[in-house]
Amino acid sequence: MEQLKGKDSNLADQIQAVVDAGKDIEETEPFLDRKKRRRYRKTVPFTFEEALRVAADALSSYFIEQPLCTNSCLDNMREAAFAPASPNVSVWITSKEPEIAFEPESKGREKTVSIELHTETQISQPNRGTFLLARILPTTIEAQRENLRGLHALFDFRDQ
Amino acid sequence: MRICAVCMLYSILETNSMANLSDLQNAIDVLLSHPLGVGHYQLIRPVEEKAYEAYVFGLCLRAVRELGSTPVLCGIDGTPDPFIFRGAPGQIHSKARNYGYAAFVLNGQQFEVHAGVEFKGASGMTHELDVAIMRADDAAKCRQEPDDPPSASLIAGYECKFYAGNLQKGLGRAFVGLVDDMGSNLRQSGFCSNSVHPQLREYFQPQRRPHPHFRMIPLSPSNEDIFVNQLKGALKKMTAA
Repeated sequence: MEQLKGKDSNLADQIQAVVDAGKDIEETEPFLDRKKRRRYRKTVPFTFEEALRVAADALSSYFIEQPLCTNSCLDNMREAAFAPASPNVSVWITSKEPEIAFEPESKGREKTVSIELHTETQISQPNRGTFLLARILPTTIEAQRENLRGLHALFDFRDQ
Repeated sequence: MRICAVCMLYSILETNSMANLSDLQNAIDVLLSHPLGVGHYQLIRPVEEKAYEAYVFGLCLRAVRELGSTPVLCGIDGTPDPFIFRGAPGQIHSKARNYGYAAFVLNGQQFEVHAGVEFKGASGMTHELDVAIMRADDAAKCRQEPDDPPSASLIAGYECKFYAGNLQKGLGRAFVGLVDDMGSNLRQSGFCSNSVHPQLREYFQPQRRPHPHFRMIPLSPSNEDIFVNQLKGALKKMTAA
């Protein structure tokens, strides 16, 4: 966590919060006047080993899942087509006349996708434009997955 | 008492013969210094929720494609190049930027897919839907005569949450309340997340409650398939001749 904190305190705080949330377990206790035992939910802290795994899983959300989601979005957008370029035309598309409904050459072409950073009602900050969703190379993602697998292997305390 | 993760780590390593501290420090350093490590996270952090919405939006396009239709990307103000997702809830008629949406037709019926658009609930209160599928004629009308689309125009609505840990229960309760105000035309509703919450899964069980699309990420293709197939089923059913 110290290493992480040194690089990004916000991320370190988020991971710490995930670890500190603990987990639900099922406890049992005998009824006072019956043989049957009653069960109830109890929230307890993670064990040290569990906490390490939870922290690694949380990092995986940011370092692996998020890039994969971006690539998936770009894949699906690529297979969509652009509407005709003429402005102020409502796009009324019919399955019988696909040639006038969209630009066929745009289907299968990579699209530029971005997310607005400076929202339309925001006056508190200077205009920060948009954030471009950039495709991540699968080999880059796989290399990071390998790094995480390596970290998990160091958490293997089964022989202790 | 807050448990310090570093203290935990040291106490484990003191008794662990399989890994030593420097191995672990090296492994963490490699992970954090990777191009998809901390630097990447710092880039994506301001938009991580919206990036997940964009992913779910993409899955809706996939469902449309698998039904044999071509999703067409449109912009409020012309060709959406770049295609811009809203950074905050907004109105369907807003031209603050050339916000993008997708249009498609099934069996002669026209629909649109939107992200981050506000709808007018049955109560009159407006609600944002992270991803929504609605009737295209209602959408066009609201663009021509600026207004919030009515809940009756809505076909499907999804809440999208990207979380590193377990989901918070309050998110599920809030979305159930939203769906309740969206009337009976809503064919499909779902709570989509990369994460999970076991109690929320139970909470979503009663009829008319959103479907829990938990652990919906590219690493779990079967969960993506459930989402896509449910949407395909709903669209097919409502457009059947």
